[in-house]
Amino acid sequence: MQLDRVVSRLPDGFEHVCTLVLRDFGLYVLHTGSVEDLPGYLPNHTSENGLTEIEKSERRIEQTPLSELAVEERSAFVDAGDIHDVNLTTENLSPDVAVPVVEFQTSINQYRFLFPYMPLEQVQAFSEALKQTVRAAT
Amino acid sequence: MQFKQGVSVVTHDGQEVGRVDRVVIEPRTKEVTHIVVRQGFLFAEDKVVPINLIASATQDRVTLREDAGDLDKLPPFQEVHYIPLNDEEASAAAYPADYAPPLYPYPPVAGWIGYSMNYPSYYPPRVVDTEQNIPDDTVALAEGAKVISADGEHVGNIERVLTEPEGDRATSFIISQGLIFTERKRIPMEWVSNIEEDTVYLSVRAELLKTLRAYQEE
Repeated sequence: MQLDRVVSRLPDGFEHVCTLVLRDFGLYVLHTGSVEDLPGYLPNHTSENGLTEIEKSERRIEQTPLSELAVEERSAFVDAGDIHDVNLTTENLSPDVAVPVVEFQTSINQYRFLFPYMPLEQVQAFSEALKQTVRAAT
Repeated sequence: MQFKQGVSVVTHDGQEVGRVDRVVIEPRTKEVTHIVVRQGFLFAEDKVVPINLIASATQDRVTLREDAGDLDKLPPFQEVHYIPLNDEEASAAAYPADYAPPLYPYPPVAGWIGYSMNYPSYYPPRVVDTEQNIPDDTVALAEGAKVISADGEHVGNIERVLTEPEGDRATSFIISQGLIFTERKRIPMEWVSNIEEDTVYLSVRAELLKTLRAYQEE
């Protein structure tokens, strides 16, 4: 299962765009760009690049082994056996815009992913698949 | 199922028949096709057991199916063929063509020293061909095979192979702790680029393996 244009928010508040790829042994978090290039994500901000840079990174994912991309800066591989407390929730980006959020913990990190362009049903399916993968691995 | 080298192989009624020595795997499909079972100790013989004769495989033992039959009737893992030299090869050998090849083994064992000094060092003209009774394109992964990362690091040694619960496809393997890692790691088969008898090559760098959690017994 692959989900593009997901916003990863680190515990220190820094956000970046990534693609999530769920395998039966873990989750690849692959950095694809800056949230500044996501149209409409940041209020009162117009991207200079548009989606060009993000699309370029997404094409690399199709052409490069995921394990190679996972060791690049801001990317990661998260072992399914190390994931716990998967939680699906929502977050208000503005008073009238709520986006689905999936968060979980590992032994050393806390992960929080926002899905600004994805319908809730699709994020629910991802969340369930992630939980199932975690159950199978532990 | 999981195949840990060295664990007991027992019949359906609990009689030990040997121990797991190797896991035979098809590197392309990652399918486990057979295991090699070592019988005996002093005069060990390795038997090739098809995966469909195995009822269960846990971290403690491999249990054969009720209809597995007599293990002695299964083919040995390796068969050694002694092939006589042809005339041309024989004439190239280090003794005259009409010289009767000695029937004793060479080199002589200890205590035959004087004997070897008085006789020329001829040996029977034959070549030895060792054949493995496993399917083409499969590899009999040896106990403790080295695991090498994409950046050439020896990251550990194979300790066991895990397959999907209902099927024969290997999903991951466990490597022992070593110089690089202080704990055992479970490595997905997706990260394996090539499998040889004594070495498994990974498509990932050692750096990525550090993200794997330590493997713990269930």
